Amino acid sequence: MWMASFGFASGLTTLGLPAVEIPAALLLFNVGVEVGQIGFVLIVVALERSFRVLEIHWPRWVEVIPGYAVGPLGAYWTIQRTAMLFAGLS
Amino acid sequence: MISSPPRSELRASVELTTLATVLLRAIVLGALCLTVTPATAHAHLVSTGFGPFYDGISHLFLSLDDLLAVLAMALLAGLGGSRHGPLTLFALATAWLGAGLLGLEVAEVKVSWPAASALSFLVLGLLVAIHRDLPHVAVAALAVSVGLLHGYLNGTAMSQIDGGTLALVGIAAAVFTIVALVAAFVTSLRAAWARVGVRVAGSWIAAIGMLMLGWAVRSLG
Repeated sequence: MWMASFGFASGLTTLGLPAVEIPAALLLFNVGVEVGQIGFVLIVVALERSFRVLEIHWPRWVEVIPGYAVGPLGAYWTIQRTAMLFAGLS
Repeated sequence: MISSPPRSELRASVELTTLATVLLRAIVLGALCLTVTPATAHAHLVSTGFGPFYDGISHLFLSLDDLLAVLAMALLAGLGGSRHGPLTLFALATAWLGAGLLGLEVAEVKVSWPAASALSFLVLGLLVAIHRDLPHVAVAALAVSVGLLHGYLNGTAMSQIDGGTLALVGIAAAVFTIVALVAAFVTSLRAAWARVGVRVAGSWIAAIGMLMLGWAVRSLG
């Protein structure tokens, strides 16, 4: 979230938004991100309930896919964004 | 009597605390430096390339004929309970994606069949409204037919833009999610009046289908 905010702050500066407006824009940006994340989690929880109601039983290998997908992707993006951040400083 | 720790251990502990404080200050200082010297913004959709995926999801919610067909199919599956739900869920999303990819490959121009599209959810809406217990094969055939028709039309439309495959995956994911949520919701309804409400919703979908079919036929003439 911090890294996204750094990038977004630079974008707002580049767009020529007055400095006094940036804190409010950043605040609303972060609120929007949080709302999006909560919405996504709610959809996943509702889907999980739907699968139970519809009596859909997933095989074990399907159940572990989300964990294995999220882990490497998260690690990849963390390393990539950190590299981008430091590349921007140099 | 409690014995005090040896002097060497005490010194090591103090040195560790000092080191932790220095590290913490370095991290805070580093974060402040990054804050005051921001790098170029790398907006998520641009740097991850996932933009078309979200376009696909949005497309479904903005295309009334696609959305109504999915909703009607989900209502029909939900009225059939856990017997029809899983089958419809996988059949519809898979057929939609498969036909979409086919349309993406073969079509050189966007194909638009508004009459066929309207007819599809008109029929589904009527089936929801009359609610007869359909056999397994019939529900599966309906799901595949609707998926093939709407998926192919989406595919031909997506062939005009970049990232069509990812957009189709987004549409199929949205179809899967909507059918799962709506079908499970309808399945969980036990009160007679609530199930009548579902059938009324089906009749509204059929009415919209009839209206859109009329417009489509009139514009052909």
